[in-house]
Amino acid sequence: MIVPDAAPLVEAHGLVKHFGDGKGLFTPQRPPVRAVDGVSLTIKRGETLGLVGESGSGKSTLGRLILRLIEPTSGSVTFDGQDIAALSKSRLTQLRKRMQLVFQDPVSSFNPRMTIAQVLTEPMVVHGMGDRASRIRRAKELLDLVGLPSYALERYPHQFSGGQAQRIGIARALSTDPDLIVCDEAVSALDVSVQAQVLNLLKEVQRELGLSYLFIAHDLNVVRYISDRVCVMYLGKLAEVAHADDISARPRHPYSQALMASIPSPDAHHQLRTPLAGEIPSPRRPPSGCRFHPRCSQSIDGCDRDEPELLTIGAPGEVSSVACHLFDPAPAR
Amino acid sequence: MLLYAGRRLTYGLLVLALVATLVFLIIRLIPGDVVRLQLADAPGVTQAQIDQRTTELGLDEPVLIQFGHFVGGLVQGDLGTSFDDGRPVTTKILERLPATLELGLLAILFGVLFGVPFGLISAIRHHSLIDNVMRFLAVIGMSLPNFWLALLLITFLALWFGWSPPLVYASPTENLSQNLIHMLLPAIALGAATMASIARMLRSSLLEVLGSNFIRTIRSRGASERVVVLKHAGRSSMIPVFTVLGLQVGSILGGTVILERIFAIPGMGSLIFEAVGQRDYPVILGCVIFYGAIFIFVNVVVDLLYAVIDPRIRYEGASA
Amino acid sequence: MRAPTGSANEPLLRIEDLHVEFRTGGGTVEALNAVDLWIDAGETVAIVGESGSGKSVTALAVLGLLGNGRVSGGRITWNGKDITGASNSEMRSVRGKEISVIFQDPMTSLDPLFTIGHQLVEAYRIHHDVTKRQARQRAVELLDLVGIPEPEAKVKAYPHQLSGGQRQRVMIAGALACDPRLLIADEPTTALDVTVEAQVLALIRDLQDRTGVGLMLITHDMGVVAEMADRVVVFYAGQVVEAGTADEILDRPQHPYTRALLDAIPRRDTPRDQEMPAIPGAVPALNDMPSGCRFATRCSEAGPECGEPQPLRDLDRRQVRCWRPDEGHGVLEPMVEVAR
Ligand SMILES: Nc1ncnc2c1ncn2[C@@H]1O[C@H](COP(=O)(O)OP(=O)(O)OP(=O)(O)O)[C@@H](O)[C@H]1O
Ligand SMILES: Nc1ncnc2c1ncn2[C@@H]1O[C@H](COP(=O)(O)OP(=O)(O)OP(=O)(O)O)[C@@H](O)[C@H]1O
Ligand code: SF4
Ligand code: SF4
Ligand SMILES: [Mg+2]
Ligand SMILES: [Mg+2]
Repeated sequence: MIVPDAAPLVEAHGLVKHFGDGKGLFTPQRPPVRAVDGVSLTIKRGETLGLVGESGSGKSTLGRLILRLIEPTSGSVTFDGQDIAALSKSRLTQLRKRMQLVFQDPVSSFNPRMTIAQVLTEPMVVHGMGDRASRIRRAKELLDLVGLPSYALERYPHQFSGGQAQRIGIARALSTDPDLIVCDEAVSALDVSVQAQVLNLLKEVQRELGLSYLFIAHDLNVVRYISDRVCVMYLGKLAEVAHADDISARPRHPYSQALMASIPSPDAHHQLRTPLAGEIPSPRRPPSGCRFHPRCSQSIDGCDRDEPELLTIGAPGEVSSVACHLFDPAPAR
Repeated sequence: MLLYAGRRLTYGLLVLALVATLVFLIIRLIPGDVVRLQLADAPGVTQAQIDQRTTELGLDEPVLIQFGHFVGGLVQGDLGTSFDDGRPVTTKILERLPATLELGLLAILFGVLFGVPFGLISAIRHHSLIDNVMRFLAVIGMSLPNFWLALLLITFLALWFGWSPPLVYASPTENLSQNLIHMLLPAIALGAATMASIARMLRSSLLEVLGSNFIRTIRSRGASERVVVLKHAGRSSMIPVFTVLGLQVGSILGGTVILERIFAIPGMGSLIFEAVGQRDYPVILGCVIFYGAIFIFVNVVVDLLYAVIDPRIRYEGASA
Repeated sequence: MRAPTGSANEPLLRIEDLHVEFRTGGGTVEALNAVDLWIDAGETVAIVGESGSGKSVTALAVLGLLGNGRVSGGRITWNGKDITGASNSEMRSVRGKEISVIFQDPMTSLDPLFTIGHQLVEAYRIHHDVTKRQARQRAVELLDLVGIPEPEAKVKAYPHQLSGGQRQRVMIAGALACDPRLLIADEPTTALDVTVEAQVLALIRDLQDRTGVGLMLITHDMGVVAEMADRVVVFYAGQVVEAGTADEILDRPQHPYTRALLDAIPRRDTPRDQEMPAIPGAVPALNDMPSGCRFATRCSEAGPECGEPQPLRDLDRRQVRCWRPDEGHGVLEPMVEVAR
């Protein structure tokens, strides 16, 4: 699936997004929410990059930064070699065509008074693609691609089940023929039986069209299944980036290990998981040093003081990167 | 909490300053000239006399300077003197204030005393006959203009019971019962809309809260309906009701202008009515500022009540 | 495999052929059609099923909290007593005291305007004639029991000052305030992160060990079922389609729906280059149910017999609403061999 050695489609460098650091006329200054705090990643052509982490770890914010739906506090994103922060409005609009977003709750993201035909053609109209007839033709093709009958065109969003609505959401995202789709919890609200349908659909579409996904979810097994590589995010930072099979078989970062260990499995009868102690701290006041250290069972001297960097480890060519002093070639002093 | 209170109060004062400025400018823009109005009928008025009067009233100075004087006085609590009889505006207003306050408070009392139970009953028995009747009445109550309602009341009471309200106003200290009888009809006419809005708002917010998850939790613990409705749902519904009440104070204040006229009540409402007729700028301005101040004060109090009721507002900005 | 009848072994809760209807704008809909289950004292019974299958409605029916719905058939027996359609005041002495419930969404299930201490005191005093001070003591104890740090200080906290996991702990504390005999947990961890979910489930298990409270655990997560349940009841479209011990159901599912459901779950070792075995189609709408087997439109094994309504059959060690599985149930092999 992945085009080997091709230039990456998306490259993010040192992305930072702080919310609410500006003090108001009457509001006292507070520390900002460090939603995303220095993230670099690449998404290759035809690749699915998974993004997991607990609620509030900054996954959605990172996704929106990459689409430039919000402005980064600092850092840069290049899409197909172009720095999207430097682009003019009109160039950005052109580029928007090539990146789309699929949300968690498909029905509420559609205008309830629009027919599915309008829902599907709207992005094409916005980007001035084709004439009316060709847009409708394309909408039919898209419905066919996501496995819905063409009479769906005249129906309204509420007339579809959750799984069907999510298919429509995917069809709409595909309408502008994008190179990248950010799926933000796109299957999280679906029942497992329907979730499996949508996962299959996403894979099939990728096989046919060769696009890339940034697949955000909190279910590690789902992310592992659909992704080529997986990023584990904790409090605004990447803890580990690894091959999808590695993340489940050999999680390296203590947080990835804890996350893997906390997934309940239908095959493990009456086995209580060993819960990770504590809860994710406030992103307004992240812990010093390694952000995971208050909950880490393997912390060593210096973890509360020095922030570990995301370092590539293992044999050359291996994709794993870990931000943990246990894997630091020059261990914390 | 203190921070929140301070912030609300500051906003309130800013709004008041804005209102005062706007009213000052608008009045100057209204066509018509006090001096000519005052002197017009007098035969043989000379230009010199007009000029002299204009200077006396300070109207020859540029608007900006006039505004400066006005602001300078305002911060010292001095609203200037009446063009009409030369008495300090503050004194004139303070004479009239009690009657208006009494009328307003009675109207609110009426609105709350009847609106709250009506809303409660409507919500508990929603979609029943009594609910439908009350909702119908509420729509009428909100759409009838208060002076019209007042006239209707007077007419019908006179027709059916041969009773009409006293024509001579007595202050509560002189004759409390006569005063209250006098105030009864205007207070009802003024409070009807408040009653209707409160009933409606209370009904809809109660119904919304009664369907919420935390109410389900409380029911699941075996709590009685009295605790569920009055304590938990009631408290949550108070915020929108207070909001309505704060806004209603505005229409009640506006309504006093006409109703005091109809019922011959010597309050601020009739004062402003007279002052407008005579282009008595300082009095108009003073009254409007007073009305504005009352309205803003009430709404600051409402904002503070929000914080008393809702800890999420109280701790806003204070928590991590 | 039905619970033995007779007063000595009467289960704590027994639901027989329960039907529930709701009045809606477009007429009445039947949310439950034939629900049978029982729970013994101290036992954990998991209720699994997809969204809209009637899990929450079952819980609300037991508590008599159906709102605009009503029980239109069947029977609910609590502790040997028929409580079907009991009056609100009768049910009030059961709610919270004998049967307690925790709901899915801890963010909205506590009254935001009162301190958590106040809400715990209230929960306790509904069924206990004690002073506020004594109840407050109990509130502190409860917070300590559910693992809230600094319980003396935390009683003064408002819900918005707690994290989701802590709020769910407070919900559990409130549910256990009066030492109920049955705890109904309606998706208690669905809104929580996996790491917090593990903590909350461990807490519930620990409390069960200490108090012997029975647990009706509503979930759609088979992993949670495996971890917690003694027995499992599988719901589909307002009916029970399969019931049995957790080991039986998870290892040797017999109803085609249960088997397909288990196969559709991505696991840590699901091969990434294979398709997920999904169930085609969607659950039929309540007002558009097939007259025969309700799963027939999606079932890969459907035959002509499936056009008939399927009764819940008692087999050797389970109940199944499908004519296919045989006594001894060696007939149906798992559709996909899941690597263990
Ligand atoms: N517009 C915003 N203003 C202020 N804070 C925000 C905003 N958007 C997000 N945040 C904060 O940034 C942090 C990260 O949020 P984000 O939505 O990216 O998390 P997430 O990983 O997607 O979580 P979830 O799994 O709950 O969706 C959170 O603490 C959130 O409260
Ligand atoms: N108050 C109500 N009025 C009308 N229909 C209702 C009402 N409550 C529930 N239903 C219907 O009953 C059916 C069963 O709902 P229920 O809440 O029990 O599902 P569930 O199995 O708990 O699903 P979930 O996993 O989504 O919580 C649904 O189709 C729902 O639409
Ligand atoms: S850096 Fe230290 S605290 Fe952080 S994950 Fe590694 S061992 Fe744990
Ligand atoms: S009765 Fe028929 S359709 Fe229903 S589950 Fe059994 S085999 Fe499938
Ligand atoms: Mg998110
Ligand atoms: Mg439910």
